[in-house]
Amino acid sequence: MRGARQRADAARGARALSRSATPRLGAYTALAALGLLAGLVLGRPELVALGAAFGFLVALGLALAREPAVALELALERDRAVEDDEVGLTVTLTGEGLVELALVLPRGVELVDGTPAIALRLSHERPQTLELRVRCARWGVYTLGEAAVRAHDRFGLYTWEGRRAEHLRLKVFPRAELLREPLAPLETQATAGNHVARAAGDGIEFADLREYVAGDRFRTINWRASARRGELWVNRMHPERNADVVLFLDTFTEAAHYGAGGTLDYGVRAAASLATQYLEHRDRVGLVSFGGILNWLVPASGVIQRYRIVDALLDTEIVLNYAWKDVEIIPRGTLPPKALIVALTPLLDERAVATLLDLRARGFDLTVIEISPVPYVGPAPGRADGVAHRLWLLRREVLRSRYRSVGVPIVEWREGTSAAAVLEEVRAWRRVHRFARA
Amino acid sequence: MSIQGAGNWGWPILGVALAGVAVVVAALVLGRAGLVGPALILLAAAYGIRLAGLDPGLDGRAPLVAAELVAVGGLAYLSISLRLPVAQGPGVVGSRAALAVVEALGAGFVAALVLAAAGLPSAGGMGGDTIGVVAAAVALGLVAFLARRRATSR
Repeated sequence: MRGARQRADAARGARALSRSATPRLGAYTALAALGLLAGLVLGRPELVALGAAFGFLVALGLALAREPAVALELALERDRAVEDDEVGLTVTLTGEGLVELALVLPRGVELVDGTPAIALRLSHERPQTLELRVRCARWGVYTLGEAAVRAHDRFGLYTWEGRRAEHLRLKVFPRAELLREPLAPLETQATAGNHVARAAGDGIEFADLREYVAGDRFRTINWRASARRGELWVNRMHPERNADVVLFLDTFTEAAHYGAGGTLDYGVRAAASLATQYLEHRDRVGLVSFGGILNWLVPASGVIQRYRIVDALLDTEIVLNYAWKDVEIIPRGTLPPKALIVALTPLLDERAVATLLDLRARGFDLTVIEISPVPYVGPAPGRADGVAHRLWLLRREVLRSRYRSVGVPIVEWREGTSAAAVLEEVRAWRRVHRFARA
Repeated sequence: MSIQGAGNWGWPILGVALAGVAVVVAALVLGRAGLVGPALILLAAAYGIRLAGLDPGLDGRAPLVAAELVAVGGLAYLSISLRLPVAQGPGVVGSRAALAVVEALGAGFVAALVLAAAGLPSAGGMGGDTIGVVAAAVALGLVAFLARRRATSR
């Protein structure tokens, strides 16, 4: 994140404000007219005096009422933040007269300190500045700067209302959880990295011993073994290689509480954490956002790829789409052979379920992290609904068994559990089943 | 507003005045600015009924009644506007309250002027001519001011 001061343009003047009369104007005008009329009819000058008093206020108010020129300037302390960060927002108002300002904040950005709606008396000589602090509750790209403005004339006979919109972009990155170590892939690539490869070669992890052949380097000779056997034996090591990892994010649908986070939020945060972890291990990481809209990033390494992945994750959203999609629509280079595919999915859509099974059938090293929708879907009241809910849970268990039967580790990730604990469970499963296969 | 000396008009005055007060209270409790106007009309009507029961001479309390009605209206509108969930900046409430008081005083002054003009002998005289000239000059000055303001705002 860079700390940068971003300034928006000044407001475009009062042209966008619409004028309306207040109830006070009608009331005072009516009192003036009724007073004068009653005074004439009843022949009482006192009522004329009463009417004249109100008429004077109306005349003076109309004479002095003028459309205010309110200028609004907004500035963000910085344009990038991480979830739960606080960012300063400065609002500067110039104009004349009594002005009410209400800032409209998008959902996902909450006001921490300061008042979103305030009435100020402005003067051209002294601009008023409001210092607010907003909290970035959820990842995403936000446009701040929309404000509702209401100005009053001196005597409260007219109001001018309108909206001002200054486009300040705020990128809020998902909060990445610190993972102790990433999931080790079954196969590695040819480039140097941090994963111990299964093949033998140059490295620091001991693999096995073999007999010396001409051309072997002397420093690989295992002198102890050679002394025991009476002939030269050399060490074989496991080289360290990098891996290709593809993060597969299911964006067909999600389960969520209204107004709060849901399964997609867990998926995005986990994807950000995993991407950060693997890229730090010099792996190549790609991303497939498989849903109503397909987004993909071909695997690459380095800091730039990290920013690409995070920017792609910020654009993730659920787009309802009923067209059938399968693995054929994913561009070829996105899924390199021998890549580890980590799927983050609530397993709610048949298309994602079928695609993952298809990927396994094509021989990919697949791991499924099921972001459980169960906490978000409770049984409706009623006996039949309770039975339906239990049937749904059983179907999900059958689906998990289906994945396990084809050798895919699948772990249910429930609300409140850390990503590290989930990965540890996956690691344990892979360790056991690798041993079983061997 | 006293109902003494109003003769048989006492109960109607009281009734209309109480109705006016009730409407003001309802406006403040419900936060409805649209009820303040009818409340002021009822209170002014109570005063009008009282005038009907008085002798034909001028009632010198009319400027006071005008100031009171404007003050009630101004403060009621202010109170209702403060019920909105809008924080008030420094000095805003004080300046608005002060403006309501100044409006009331101004209204009383205007009512007093009108009453003074009405209290002059109908035969005219130097005083009546002077006031007429002054009133005409003020009216012309106001028109000129308004015309100049319109021209500069374009």
